Amino acid sequence: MADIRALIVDDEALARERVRTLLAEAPGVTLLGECSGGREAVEAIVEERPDLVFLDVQMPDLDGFQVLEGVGDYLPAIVFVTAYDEYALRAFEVHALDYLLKPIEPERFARTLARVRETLGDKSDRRLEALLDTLPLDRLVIRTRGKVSFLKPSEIDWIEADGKHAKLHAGKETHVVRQQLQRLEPRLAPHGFVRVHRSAIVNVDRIKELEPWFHGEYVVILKDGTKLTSSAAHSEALHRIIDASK
Amino acid sequence: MPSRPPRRLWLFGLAVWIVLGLMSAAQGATWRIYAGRPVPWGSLVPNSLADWLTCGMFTPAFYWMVRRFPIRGERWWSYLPLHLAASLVFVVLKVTAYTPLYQLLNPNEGRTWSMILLGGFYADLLAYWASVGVIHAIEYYRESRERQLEATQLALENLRAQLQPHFLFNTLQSISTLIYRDQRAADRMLTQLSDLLRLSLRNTGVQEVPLAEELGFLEHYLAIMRVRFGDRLVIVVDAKPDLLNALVPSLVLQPIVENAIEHGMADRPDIGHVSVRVTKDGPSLQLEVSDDGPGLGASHKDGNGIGLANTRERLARLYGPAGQVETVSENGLTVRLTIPLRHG
Repeated sequence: MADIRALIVDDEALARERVRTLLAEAPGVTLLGECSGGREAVEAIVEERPDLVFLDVQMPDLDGFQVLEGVGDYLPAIVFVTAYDEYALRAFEVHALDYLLKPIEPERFARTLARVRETLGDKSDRRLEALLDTLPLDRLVIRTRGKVSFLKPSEIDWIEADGKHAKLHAGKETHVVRQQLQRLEPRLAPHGFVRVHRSAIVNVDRIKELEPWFHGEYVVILKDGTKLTSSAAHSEALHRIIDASK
Repeated sequence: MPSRPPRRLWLFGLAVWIVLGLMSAAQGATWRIYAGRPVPWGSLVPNSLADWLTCGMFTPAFYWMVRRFPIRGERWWSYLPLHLAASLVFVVLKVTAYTPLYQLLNPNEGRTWSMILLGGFYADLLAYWASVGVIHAIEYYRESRERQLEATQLALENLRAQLQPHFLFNTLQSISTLIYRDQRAADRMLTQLSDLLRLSLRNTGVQEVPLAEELGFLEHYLAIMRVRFGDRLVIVVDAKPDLLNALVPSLVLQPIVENAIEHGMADRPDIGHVSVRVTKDGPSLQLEVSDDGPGLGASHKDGNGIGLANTRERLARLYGPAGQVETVSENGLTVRLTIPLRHG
């Protein structure tokens, strides 16, 4: 069996060193590299595709969860490392995710690594996705040409499904995020987004008018002139939201 | 002003009036026994209770008067005329309520309203002032207890603010790393952490300390942060020697510096700078903590807000309007505390 290729992400050098020393004693693991920040980690995960990432939860630029948002559809096995964060710990427990507490206990480290080995490459493992789906979506992490940036939901006009990805339209810019529209929709709903079509969700704030079309369908006209046709299946939800905001 | 009185306080008041009535009856009885006259228990006790309980009826009004027009503070005399007027009104009302009761209990005595008024005037007047006095004492006691409780809570909150569990566990992690590589460094860091814990435990309850002591505490904290962040963090502390004995709120700087470090390192892979500057500004002392992070606009985790709200509340409590917390978002974020300059 090939070695597990691992990446260490932590903003503190001494914390990375601790994981590195512990990994050095574990057979069958190759250290791919280390990152001292979240942005760097997004890059490294997308480029190097490690099998396993030791991911610090609290980092100043991007926290561990945001790193995973930014990475999008390639999710390696993750072992979260945290000093203290009740919210995160509860999330790990709920989703049965692997995590280590600082200072790291060697026995626990070994146990965790053994468990990761067992589940590695398990295609049906959706625990991480389940965790991400429950997180509030205050900012979307966007990666364009090797640069990581943020987009607030309020800055987005509408979103178009693009296969496994989603295309965000924000003013003159469009960004592609590696997430399916179906997974974004429930998380954006609290921010005033509504599905108008099988492959489009719209920021209600950006709707200029609704033109009745056939069979209870509408043409949704956005403030920037974009025209989208709602499908009958989604028109009702659209109508409810428009009524409520009147 | 303490919170509303609990119900058992009213029950207590009722009991006090009943005891007073019984004592007054006992007094009458003693006098009669001494004079060798028979004691008419059947009329003495009801009469006395009726008299005192009609006074007692007014307890809520007394309470209201004390809460609304307390005789205390610098202008304690300002409500005296009002209470004087109130006491006269009370006597008239009390006698008006008591007269029919008296006549019912003693149908053969034929005492009129004015006779009862004149007969008991000074005793009733005294009842008003004694009640108001006792209520002041009770209120004062309740208030001081509530304040003590608040102070204890504040001290606990301060302690928690110093010992962010996040800081604590990250530091322990650093020590556990150093143990394998550099035992002396691990030892040093452990000592720093111990000193920090000891100082923050010792300082709970103390509101103000000399600046030198506050900076000493901060230095233990910074020593740890320098080891943890190494070259990525540059911290400058600058205070004129003649300000070192100025009094500052204890442990006020460290949480703000902690924010600045987190904030100053946000969104940057290179070096973060944090500076602490203490200056004199006329009659005030200014404590400034600056970072060169993204400023307030781009701050995503508003952990900053929480820390500052506590500080703001604390300065207001200690110095009133003379204690100020400002933030300036320019080339990073500066938090400026202004307090009155006093030397310890």
